[in-house]
Amino acid sequence: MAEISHHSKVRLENFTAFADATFEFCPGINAIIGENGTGKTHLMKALYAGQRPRSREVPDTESALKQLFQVEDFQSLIRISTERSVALKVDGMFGSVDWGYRIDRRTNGDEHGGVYSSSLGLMTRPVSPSRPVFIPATDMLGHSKGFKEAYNTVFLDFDLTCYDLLGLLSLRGRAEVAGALGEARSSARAAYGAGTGTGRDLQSILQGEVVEDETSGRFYLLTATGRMEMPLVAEGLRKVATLIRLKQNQWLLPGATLFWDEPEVNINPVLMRPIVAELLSLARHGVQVFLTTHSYVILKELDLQAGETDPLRYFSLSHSSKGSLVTASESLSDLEPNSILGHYGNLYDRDLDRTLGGVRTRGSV
Amino acid sequence: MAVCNESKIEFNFDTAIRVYTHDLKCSCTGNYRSDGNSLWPGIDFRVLDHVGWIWLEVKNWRVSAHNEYPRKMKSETFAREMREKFLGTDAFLASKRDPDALPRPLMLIFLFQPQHGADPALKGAAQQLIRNQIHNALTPLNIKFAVLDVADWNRKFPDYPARQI
Repeated sequence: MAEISHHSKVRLENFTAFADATFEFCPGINAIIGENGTGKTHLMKALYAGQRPRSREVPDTESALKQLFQVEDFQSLIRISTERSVALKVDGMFGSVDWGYRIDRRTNGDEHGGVYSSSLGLMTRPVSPSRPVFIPATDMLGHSKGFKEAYNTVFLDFDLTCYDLLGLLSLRGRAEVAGALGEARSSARAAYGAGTGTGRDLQSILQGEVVEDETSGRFYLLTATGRMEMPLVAEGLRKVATLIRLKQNQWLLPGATLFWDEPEVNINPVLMRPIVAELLSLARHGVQVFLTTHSYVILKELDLQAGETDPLRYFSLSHSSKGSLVTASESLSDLEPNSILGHYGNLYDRDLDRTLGGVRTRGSV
Repeated sequence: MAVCNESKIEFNFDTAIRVYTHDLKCSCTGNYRSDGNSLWPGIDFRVLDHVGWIWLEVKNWRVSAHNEYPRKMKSETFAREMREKFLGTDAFLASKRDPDALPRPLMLIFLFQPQHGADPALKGAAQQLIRNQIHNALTPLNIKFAVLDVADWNRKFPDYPARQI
């Protein structure tokens, strides 16, 4: 069996929030935390930009960066610095492949009113073949009708991850291959009965199959009792459906890379247990997972569910005057700083203050 | 002048007005009194100072049940057990025998120290469970209750420093 490639490290220099940061990833789950503005999503997009296959619509890294970050000029990605000659550099390793890109900034004119020219270095070697997928915080299953056509013809203020995800969700997979809607309905009925599912795995939470009507371009949830337009399905469940659909399409096979930006968005914490179980299962089957989160529940579920042999690494990003700082740990309890647990601690301290009053000393009454 | 050990945590109560221990067997030195119990359930220490009473129950889950404490801490059974310890027969009667006991403010402190530090969410959940039990106890006392670890204790009660030994 061929060895599965994965992102093993990346160095970001002068990239948005990062002055100079190096990450060493594990082949399993890489969970990234940090306060807003520390660069969590940008880190994942930097990786995705290097890994995303080139296409007619997005032929090069320059196009990918502009569309991923929704910037008119990719010079905007260079970290603001007093040094005029600063360059953005991304250098990574995927399997045995070195990859990277750079954006040079040069002034052409006076210091204040200078016109910037730029050049985007070509990737030294492309990261391919690989199977990346980026699930953004925005749900896309409920916004599919006409989206791809509109994205390609007029300006839409959605980033490239939304477009790419819809493309992957529309791949013909097992659900369609299984046959017509009637057949799928019978399958759903057989699998889930007329009532609630017995398990708490993702499929039983969804209570049905995700199917696409190619004529309308819309997705539907096909349950034992009928067909429901995806916009009627709760947004959190649409996220669950997105993950299931990517599995059904056989995109999330060994060697795939899943980037998931804030899985907790719109999802009730009770669903985090099966979702984290699914992510761990994917990681055990050779899918490398990157996720950003602000959720204590996700962190704790990872901590509780991961076995000793599960590859799992936590990254903490924090603000500093020299750009975002990075710390990493295999253990949640050893991760410092931990903005999420730190704030829980702060809430607890305030609760104690309300209950017990302030510090009790001989000088206090 | 009292230094007390419980479950490998040492408390220095030197500056307290009075310190009571529940058990006959206790590893305290200095000026303390024992309630002299060996049968009834009760809390480990009762400390009187210029503000009021601090009743303290100590569990050091570094040394025992360190794999089971999260399950215990969130169980109603454990919360009821803690209520019985705090408001149960022995300690409560002991307080009534003491003319200084009422109506001074009463703080009940459950101090626990898990092996790898205390998760604030777990502390909060346990605190709420036990607090509910105590506030359901229909006592006329104004009781404040909190779950602390050693670091919390030292922040809140710097006059009575604690350390793991």
